[in-house]
Amino acid sequence: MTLTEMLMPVAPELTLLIGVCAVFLLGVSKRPAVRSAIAPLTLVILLGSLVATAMCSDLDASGLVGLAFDELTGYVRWITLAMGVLLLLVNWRVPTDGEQGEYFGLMLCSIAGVLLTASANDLVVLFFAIELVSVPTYVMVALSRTDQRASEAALKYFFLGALSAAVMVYGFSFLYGLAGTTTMMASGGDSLQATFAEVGAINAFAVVGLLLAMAGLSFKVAVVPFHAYAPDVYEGAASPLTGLLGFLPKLAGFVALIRLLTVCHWALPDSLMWMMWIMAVATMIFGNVLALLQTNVKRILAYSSISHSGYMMIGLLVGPVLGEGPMHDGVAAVLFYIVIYGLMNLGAFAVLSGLNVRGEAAETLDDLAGLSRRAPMMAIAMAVCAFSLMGFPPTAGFLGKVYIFSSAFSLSDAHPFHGPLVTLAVIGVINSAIGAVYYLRIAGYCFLREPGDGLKRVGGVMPGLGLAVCSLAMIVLFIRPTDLVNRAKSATASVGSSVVTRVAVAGAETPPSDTRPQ
Amino acid sequence: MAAEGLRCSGMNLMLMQVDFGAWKAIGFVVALACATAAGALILAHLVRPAKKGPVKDSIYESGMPVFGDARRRFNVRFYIVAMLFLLFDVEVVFLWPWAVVFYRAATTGETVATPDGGSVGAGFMLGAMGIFFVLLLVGFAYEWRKDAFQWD
Repeated sequence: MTLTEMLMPVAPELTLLIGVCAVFLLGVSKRPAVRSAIAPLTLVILLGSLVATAMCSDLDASGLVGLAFDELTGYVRWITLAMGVLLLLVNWRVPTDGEQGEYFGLMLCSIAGVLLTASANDLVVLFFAIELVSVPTYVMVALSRTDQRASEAALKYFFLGALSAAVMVYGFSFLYGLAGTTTMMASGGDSLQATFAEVGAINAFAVVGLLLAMAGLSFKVAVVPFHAYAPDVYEGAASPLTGLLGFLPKLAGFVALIRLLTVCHWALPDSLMWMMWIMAVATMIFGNVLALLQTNVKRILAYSSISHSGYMMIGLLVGPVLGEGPMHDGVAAVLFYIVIYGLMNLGAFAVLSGLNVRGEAAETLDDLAGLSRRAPMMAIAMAVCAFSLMGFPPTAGFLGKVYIFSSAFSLSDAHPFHGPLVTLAVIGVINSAIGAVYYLRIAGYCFLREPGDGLKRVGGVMPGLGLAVCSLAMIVLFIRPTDLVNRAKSATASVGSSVVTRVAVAGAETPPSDTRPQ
Repeated sequence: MAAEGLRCSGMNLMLMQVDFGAWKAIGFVVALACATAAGALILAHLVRPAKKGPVKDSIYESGMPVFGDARRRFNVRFYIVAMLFLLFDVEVVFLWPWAVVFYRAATTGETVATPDGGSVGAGFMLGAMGIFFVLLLVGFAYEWRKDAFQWD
């Protein structure tokens, strides 16, 4: 096997890596024309990576240690790179002159990290990939604004992020101690998955390892009680970057959680199931209730981001339910929802970044007052995103919530978690209603208030284009969600197949409508 | 009584199964180190004159006079130097074992087995290290251009 053959399956990641090198080197150029060409170059790199994703259909990972490719990898590659283009458009003008190289280079690093997280098949690679997502974001927060608050946010984010990474890797060490290998899945030979099939997830080492690893990952997805950093960091970072912070680390965290749960055959011990259940409830309630108390739109959206993680936890608890429609599969619902969430969240932050109030970036509800008179298109885009975040038709946020909540009903009556999950869905619906209050408040300020003075439309063509795509996608995905849903559905096929393996290993008889082991 | 006897025999069995051969040398070195340290302290205590004073109690008796606490602000440039050192140090740490294997592969044509059952030769190794080295060079060029090597 030659080096070229070996590296073919990671062509999208390699494209990004070469791009990072080029962007960093051009960023230190002394000629302004070169520096201003960096953002377009980053766009070309992202599109090149998309082309590479489309071309490398042959996903033979036999030559690559610690990597494996399946349908989930492909799905995450597509959505990350497509969202990456939108993130780039919205962030087009964020870095100050002379820092474009660092800013866009780090953005590409973070995107490459998400792609690697989706193909990691080894605990060490998984840890490295997740840190590749996180570490650049710490620096980007500091670079995004020449402001003391940005430095403060970056420092808080860094320290808490480093702590969460330590907790996560401590959990991984327990899993290694249990299995004697860091390989997550293998068709033959030693792997964590095979070990879990043997000893089950009730082993003390397994429980402690999973608990710590999940705690570390919960920080990345901002789940209560690991949510405290989110409002401060979101407030301190520039608005366009906040759209990125709400998507890339969250996606990486959820993909890693899906991988970890696949490794333990979606058969968590009851104690951990209840822990996740309580975390989901607390996340939904804390996020929504605290968002009600805020007047800063960025803080409202930060708490809303926390509550949306709570909704997605429901899908994780349900797990993959194969062979049924998209309304039943919890993991497919999560994979669908996170795309929708990333789009509507980015759209809301793009509106904020496109507005200036007396020379300062718009942040509070009062800043948005009367937006419909000053910039009607921006107000409409904000309303679409707010309604989508609320989960109101005709926006894609509605479909996302429908898939998540309906998946909670797909476990059979005999399943011990049938009742608790139905309760969880009910709590989720009640929380959506609470959330409607503050999303409607945002929309209301835009349309019903008298405009204050000094509200001005800023930005440029590219951020405007990004915003337009985000808000249009909310409508388009409501009318035609089939393609995305089907891709999400087929992406879970590979994660769900391990459930079948577990059933075969245990020799237990499980009805086909509920492939989860009891 | 019976239970205790059982546990004792279990312990004996465990001790018998462990092969101490490889650990003898390490144990000897550890014991020697402890004995040297303790011996030097005891001997010094016995033969030295007992004179106390502020100079005697200072941290570096014959060295630089100590000023201030170590927990004070340092110039940020020291951190950059430390980071650069770490970078190049790690680079060498990677290069060294690679060079050992590569030398053998290049001179004798020996190949190294990979986890997938194949094997790789010297050309593969050179390519892999080339990628690693180019990445480092990019970082080096970036640092240079950012004036990280300038003290002032």
